[in-house]
Amino acid sequence: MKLHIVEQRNYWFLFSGVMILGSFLALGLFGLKLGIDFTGGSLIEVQAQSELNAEEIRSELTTAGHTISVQVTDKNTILIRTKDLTNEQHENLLRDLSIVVGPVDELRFDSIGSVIGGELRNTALTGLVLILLLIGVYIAWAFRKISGPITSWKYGALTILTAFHDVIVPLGVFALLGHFLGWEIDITFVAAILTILGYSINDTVVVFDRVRENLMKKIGNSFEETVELSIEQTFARSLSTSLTTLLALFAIFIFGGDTTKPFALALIIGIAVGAYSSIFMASPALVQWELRSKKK
Amino acid sequence: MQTWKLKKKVKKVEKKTWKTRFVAVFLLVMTVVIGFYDFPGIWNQTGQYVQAKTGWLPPTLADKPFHLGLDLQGGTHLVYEADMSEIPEEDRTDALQGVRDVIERRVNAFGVSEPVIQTSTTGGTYRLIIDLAGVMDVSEAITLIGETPVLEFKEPGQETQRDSTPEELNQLEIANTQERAKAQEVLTRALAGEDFNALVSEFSLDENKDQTKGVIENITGDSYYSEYAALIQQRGVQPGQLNNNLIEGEDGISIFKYTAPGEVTEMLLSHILVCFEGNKGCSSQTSALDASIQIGNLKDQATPENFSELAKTYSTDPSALSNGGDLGWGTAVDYVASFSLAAATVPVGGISDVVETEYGYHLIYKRDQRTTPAYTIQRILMPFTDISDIVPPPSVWVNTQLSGKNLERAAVEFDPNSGQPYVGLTFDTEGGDLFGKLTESHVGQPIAIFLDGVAISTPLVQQAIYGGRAVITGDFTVDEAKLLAQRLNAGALPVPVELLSQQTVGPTLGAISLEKSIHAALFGFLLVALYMIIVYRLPGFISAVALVLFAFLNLFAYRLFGVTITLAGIAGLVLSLGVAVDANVLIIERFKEEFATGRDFQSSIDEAFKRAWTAIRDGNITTLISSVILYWFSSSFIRGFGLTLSLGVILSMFTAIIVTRTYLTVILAWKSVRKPFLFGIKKRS
Repeated sequence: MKLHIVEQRNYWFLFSGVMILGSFLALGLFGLKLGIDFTGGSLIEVQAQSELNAEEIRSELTTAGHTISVQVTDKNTILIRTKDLTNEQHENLLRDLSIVVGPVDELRFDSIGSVIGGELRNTALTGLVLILLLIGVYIAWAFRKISGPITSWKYGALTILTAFHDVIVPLGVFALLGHFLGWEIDITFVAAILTILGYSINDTVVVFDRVRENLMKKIGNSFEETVELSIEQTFARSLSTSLTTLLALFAIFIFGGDTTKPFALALIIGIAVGAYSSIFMASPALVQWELRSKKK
Repeated sequence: MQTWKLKKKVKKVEKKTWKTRFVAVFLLVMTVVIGFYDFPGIWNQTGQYVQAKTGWLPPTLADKPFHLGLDLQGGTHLVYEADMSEIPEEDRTDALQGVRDVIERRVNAFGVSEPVIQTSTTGGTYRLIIDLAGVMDVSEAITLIGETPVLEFKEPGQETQRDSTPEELNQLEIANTQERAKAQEVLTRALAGEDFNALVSEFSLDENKDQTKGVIENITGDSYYSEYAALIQQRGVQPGQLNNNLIEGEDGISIFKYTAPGEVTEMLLSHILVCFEGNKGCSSQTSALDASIQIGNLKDQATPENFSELAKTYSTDPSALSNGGDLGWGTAVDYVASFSLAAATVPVGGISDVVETEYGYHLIYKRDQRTTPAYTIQRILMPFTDISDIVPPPSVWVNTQLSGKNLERAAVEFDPNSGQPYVGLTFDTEGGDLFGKLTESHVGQPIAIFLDGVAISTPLVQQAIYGGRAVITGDFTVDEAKLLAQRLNAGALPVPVELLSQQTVGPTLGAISLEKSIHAALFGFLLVALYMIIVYRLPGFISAVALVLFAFLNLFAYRLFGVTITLAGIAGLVLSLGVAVDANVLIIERFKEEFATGRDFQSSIDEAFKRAWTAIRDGNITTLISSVILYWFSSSFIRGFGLTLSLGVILSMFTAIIVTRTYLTVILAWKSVRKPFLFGIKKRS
């Protein structure tokens, strides 16, 4: 099987560059739409017995003194977003809503105080920092025995850069989804990003591990050829391990409940990009780096 | 470096086979047994089937359901924060425990099955996390939990009226807008010619509307209803005609119809009042006899010229001092009957004889008399909210320092004479002192006992009470007294709590989510198993069999450790299905490589397991790092995901390596399966 991945690496760099640039553009232009988990606020999902009109409900309830935004999720199901409500305000809102649309069934009500929102933001950051730290320790450990043509810190740096690449893309996609479809980022998204980090780093380490092994065995005539061979040897397994995980995630995305959908999608994007980057980005980048430093 | 060592000599295949076969059979039986343990319903159904066929009933298993999270069975998750600012540092943990106990009692009273109430004290905050499963009326539960029976003792006094807040003004605006719209609708109907009597009886607020039909007779420019008279005059409304707009006033919004013109006699009167003890509104302690002698003397002295002077000097009517007894223009209906009757008989410029009314003795001086036009109208009075309806009037009671925090105990006691139940209060030392001082300074005055802002008892203090005991009497039934005592005892939360967040999932959504999650899990399993079988053939099939055990083992662990299964938890489980076969993929791929180098089947398998181990371990470590951190550092949703994913990763090491390997070894003992085709590899040339 000849893949010529290293040979054609400039195309892959270009492809990744476009993805990253696009993601940054989306993040810069639209930013992420933060959900009530982080901002504080209330989310009410109700089902009525007839088809609903978001604009009508919004204007009627605004007249009654409520500041809300309304989104129709299904024909007769709506999501109402508003500031975080006391029990009494919640009751009033439901009462006024049932005056407008008739009897409703409240499927879900989340009200997060701004205190909790702030705390969740901190928790998410702490988790992120901690995972990066532990994974850094792991990478140092994984590449501890490397000797010979390439210094271990180069593997480490590229592993982390690749992980960064894999996290930026789902962030960009969610910036677009937030802007165009109103998808919000909640705490599950943070969980997805943290999981992606773990996966991405593992994928990259596996390929680098093989490069290291083959370099020591002196397989291949040139550095480029050794790397190309390593990629080809690990290609099938990288593809398979990612595919099995992706299949499981597709099942969650397609058949799972609404709350787990964005979560599954973030993981799908991250893991797919992670599989791609470990094969098409990380190792070619290693070659590029090595060749450049040799020129000097 | 390797924790899992392999025997190097693999030549003695035959000797090992029996042991391995035994292990393989054991693992298969384990799969079935654990499967039944996870789903006892299936075992029991099988048992019934066996009984139907053979008459023998195998032992049945208790069908205990899995512990489902609130997002799958419906329920509410509440986070409260306790305000510890008033509590010294060292007592805060105890205070939080106290809050927990009180809330637990209240929740238990509400009849929730297995409420979970946890305390959390991270980062200097004191929290209570309450999970209520399947509560239908969340709002009632919240009210019950947050209820702080406030016991206050108040003394007579006058609070100052506070200014209305912007919210209240806004509330007034909204209410008025709605009321105007409603009234306008009624007016439109009346103008359209609908029967006015019917509209009155349907809409009017007037309490006497059944008798009066909303009719108000003979309104003049000086009467209480002068506003209507003025309108009729200004606008030239004709008898029988409807006034065509709404009139907003203190009583409400009026819609009226001018029914008939009339004329009434108006008198311009002054009076002198001498009241005696027992008269309405009389503060004088003069006896009836003295009063009658005094009014007789005044009658003798009074002339039109000195009437006003006499009124100023002698009248007990408080306004006489400033107006000389002037009552202004008025019609007969403006006064009590005996007074009107007497006034009517007095000629203009004359002074009446002594007239007795419920107010005392009067002398009446008729200064003038005239006839004025009067108007009879019929009115629909509709509600119109006033700011005073929204802003509560200032209380006539003011707070004392004594309050519920000084209460040591409340108990139901009975009056030995009447048998009437009352609630006895025992104060602590400080409370006893305060109560003593309070009663001391209020002998002969009432003291009010307020519960939750409502006066439940306003006893008159007969004498100072020392010793720290008080009673709340009232028209209690025994049950009411008991409830009151209970509320006061269980009562006060040691510290105030504030609801920080609430997450409620209705039972409908819970059921939908559960169904969807089960589908997702089943399809996830099928997709992964099919992929393995199609891509990796025989070893793929074997890993799919091992995957069944993996799934069952996970469920077994959930039951064993009482893991709450949530939406995120199921997502973690499904994801770990993918992770579990990753190890198999690594082994099988390695097997292909080893086989390609010229090894035989068995040694390729052994070598593959040995070589793939580092990769499997490394992959699992990164996933474990992420999932364990997700478990430790987060809220409920992510926690479930972190937990099931961690469990899955750990269990997958067992199934993917030991279980798959055992099955493979046993199968490979069969010569007929050692076909490259079944392993997806090319025949060696």
